[in-house]
Amino acid sequence: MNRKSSMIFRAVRHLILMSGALVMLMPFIWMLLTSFKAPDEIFSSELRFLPENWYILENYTEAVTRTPLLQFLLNGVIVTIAIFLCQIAVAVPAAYAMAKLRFRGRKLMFAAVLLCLLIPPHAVAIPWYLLMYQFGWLDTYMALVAPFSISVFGIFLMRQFFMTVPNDLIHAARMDGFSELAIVWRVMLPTAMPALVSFGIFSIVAHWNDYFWPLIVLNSPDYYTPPLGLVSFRNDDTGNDYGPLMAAATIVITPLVVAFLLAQKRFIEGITLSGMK
Amino acid sequence: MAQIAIQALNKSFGDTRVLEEINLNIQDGEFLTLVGPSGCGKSTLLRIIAGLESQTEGHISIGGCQVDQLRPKDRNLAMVFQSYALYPHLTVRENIVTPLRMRNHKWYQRLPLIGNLMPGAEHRNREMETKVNQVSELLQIGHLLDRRPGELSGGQRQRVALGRAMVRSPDAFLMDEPLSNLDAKLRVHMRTEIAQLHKQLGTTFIYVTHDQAEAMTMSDRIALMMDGELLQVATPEEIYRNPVDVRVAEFIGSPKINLLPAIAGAGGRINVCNQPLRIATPDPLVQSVTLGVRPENVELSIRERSDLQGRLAYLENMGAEFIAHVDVPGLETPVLVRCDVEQGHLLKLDQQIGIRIKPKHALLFNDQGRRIESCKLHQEARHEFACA
Amino acid sequence: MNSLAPDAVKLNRPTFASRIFKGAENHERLLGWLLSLPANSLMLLFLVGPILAVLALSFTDWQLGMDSFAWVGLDNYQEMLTDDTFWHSLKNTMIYVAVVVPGSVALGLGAAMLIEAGQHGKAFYRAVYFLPVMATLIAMSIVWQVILHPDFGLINLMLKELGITGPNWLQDRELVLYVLCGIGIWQQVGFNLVLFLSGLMAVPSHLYEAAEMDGASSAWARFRLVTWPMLGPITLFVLVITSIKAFQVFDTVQVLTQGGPNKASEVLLYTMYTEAFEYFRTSYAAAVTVVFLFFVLLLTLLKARFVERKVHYS
Repeated sequence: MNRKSSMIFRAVRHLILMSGALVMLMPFIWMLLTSFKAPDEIFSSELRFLPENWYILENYTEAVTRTPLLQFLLNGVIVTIAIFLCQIAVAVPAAYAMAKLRFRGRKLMFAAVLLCLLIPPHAVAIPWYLLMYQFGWLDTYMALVAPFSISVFGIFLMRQFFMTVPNDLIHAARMDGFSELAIVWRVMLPTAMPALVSFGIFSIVAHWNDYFWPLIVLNSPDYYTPPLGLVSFRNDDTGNDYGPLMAAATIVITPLVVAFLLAQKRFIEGITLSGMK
Repeated sequence: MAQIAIQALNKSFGDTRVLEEINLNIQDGEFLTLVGPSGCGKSTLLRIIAGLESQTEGHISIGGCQVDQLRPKDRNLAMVFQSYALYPHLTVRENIVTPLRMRNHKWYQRLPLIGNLMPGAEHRNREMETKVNQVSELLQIGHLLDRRPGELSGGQRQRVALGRAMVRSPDAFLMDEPLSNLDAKLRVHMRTEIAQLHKQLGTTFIYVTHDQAEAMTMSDRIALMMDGELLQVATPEEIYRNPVDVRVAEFIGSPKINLLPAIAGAGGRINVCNQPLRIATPDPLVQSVTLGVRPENVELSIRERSDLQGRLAYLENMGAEFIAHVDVPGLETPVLVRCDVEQGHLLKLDQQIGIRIKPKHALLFNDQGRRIESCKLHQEARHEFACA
Repeated sequence: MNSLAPDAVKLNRPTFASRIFKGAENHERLLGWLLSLPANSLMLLFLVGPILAVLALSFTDWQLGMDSFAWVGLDNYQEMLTDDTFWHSLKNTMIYVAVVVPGSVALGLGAAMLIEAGQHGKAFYRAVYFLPVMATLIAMSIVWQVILHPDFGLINLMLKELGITGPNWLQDRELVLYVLCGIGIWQQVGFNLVLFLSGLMAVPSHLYEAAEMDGASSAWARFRLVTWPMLGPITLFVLVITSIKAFQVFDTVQVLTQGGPNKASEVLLYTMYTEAFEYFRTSYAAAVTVVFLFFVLLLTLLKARFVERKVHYS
């Protein structure tokens, strides 16, 4: 390729990719711009990008005060963290057992894990609902967390990682006097940090963004997670007030987007894990 | 420090027997090497001694105390692994101190932060600190203490693994091929270092390797294993000069021992390729035997005075010596002969040459591979049929 | 040695725990079961049990709150066959999959190749295209609703500048499903792009050098020889993953259209949701779930085959 044509190619590449990027970013930009505008500017039939009067403080205060948005965010944090911790507590010992201990039934267990990987959570929503109803957990944090406390994907992922840990390390730990539980938490888990971080991102993003299950089990806004809270905000009689609504949407997506921009590689690894599932 | 006794030990995985009737006494302070080809069961034996696997039958006692029911950590042994098995998330210092903390501290004393507030914490910490410093000084790893294993070279990791094993003064050290991940030069260097360490510490060492050179250079005694059986336990000298089995003779020594198919003729006189040698077996019942002779016990000679004749097929120049490969008609493999530099320079490829076998050092094995007695026929008695 | 052992030789004092130690193997057997017990019980309770329960439920007439139930065989499935809503929903789901999958895979592949073809801005483009994957889809759906507002939305305002009167995107029976498809593609492209990128980067550069030595001198020849054998299997893989995801479309439908107008955007999961949790026709919803499950499992099994056949450059 000579110089000139490579220049043209470079320009065309950027042109195409830039216009694609613009489409990708457009909703985010419009969301931000709308969240800065006063109602009369939002509901004007004239195309204007930048607001004439910056209405930032008003919209964002409105978003936080009109609905218990902060409560929703707190619920989101509580639920995602609780789910993640439960998943780790359950999956890591099992993954260790399946990767490194020799016992009868181990192969069967792993086969069960592989089969359960095939089950999409939507498909078991009805029995889950009945279980939550039986346990009296409907409309509580328990209902949001309990069904996700088992992550077969987590077991699978951690097992694959533990398989690569040399047996000698476990033997050394046994000789050094670690108990078997201490081996799981103090030797295996620290060596599996990269896998754990990826899985953590995968799990937290999935449950922060989850809408289907909270929608089914929750009634009272006290336990609403951010997505549910946003929808209830919109469904309010004041929901047509787009400025505060967009401000609320901005607040809900900001934590993950900022975290993503700070640790892109890790996030991409974590999220694309679901593709390997 | 203690002696270790292994009695009638058997180990099977399902139907496959991995260890068969192992009996072995290891003296206090001894450096014993378990050597054998891979898959011979030597690592399994070591792991059973450590308590990481359990025997199917038999007993193990350490210092006169039976340990079959003891967990690995209660046997007070330390192990160095082939892959070093350092905790990758801990610094060198933490790696070394871990066995001390796990053993000498109660669980509540090990808690992060809170542990430091427990009575006596400062004293314990200082004690551990002193030990770590002693060990790291001995191994010259003081400057590495704050690094993580990932930042260390193979040799450095090896030292840290040794340090972790040494720090709590175990009854015995178990070493599972600790040098096999190092490059050749470093391996030779570490051999000496480990041997010196053994002298300094005076503790029992059980050392597993597949490398006969390591076994020969480092050990007080060698236990040679094959196919789950203990073939011979003896000093390096003894095992080299007096192997009890053809497999032992073959495994030990480099270049390999020459094994020549032979027939015991009248009066037990040994014939190779129909040529009578100055060697005989006193056992009149033996017919077909294997004659083993090490390359340094064979010499090149003029054809007239030789035992066997052949063609010089290949000459290896080792610098300080030459190894001549002689193709003898009727033998499948060439006979290896070690010769000195002056002689080596005179040799020409493809020349016809004679071989003399030193009868004093020739070894005879029966058709089961067991060693049988041999004796030298005197020069003058060459044509008589009697042992000298 | 003595300097290292001030506290003399310690005796092997068996502790209580070690007294029940019956050899390493027995110990491992017990431990294996103990450590995997929580996972196994939860797996039974929340996955194996429920999936069987859904199957069983679909053959009964049970509804939430009823004390007893009867086995009705295939009645629920027969009802489904005569139910217009179900057929609508199945057809819409298929259309959605048929649009979103090729759209997002083709765009993702194209963008990935363009990004890899140059030097500048790789990380920037990757981040930007991936942003929609990260952002809470519910929040972004509400943003899309604002953008698609017939009078004050960005899109119609822009069309107005061009002198076109934009339609009421989410209320138009002909358009609504394709609008949802568009949002689906917008959300999925980045995900596929990243999978393709990691596939392209997994090709070791010495393979390109080897190809050049072997006489593949043009960029196209090298692409055919080295890149394509890797991309082919990845593309299949991405196709199946995207299909599985597309089958599970729910959030945008629930938030933006509620399946309307007039069932024009009704999809399988949404039908299941309304039957189960709005009309409480539990057993009928279970039958719909079984159909949904059937499609997803079919795709997952396809994927399992592709994953195994993937070309490995490692």
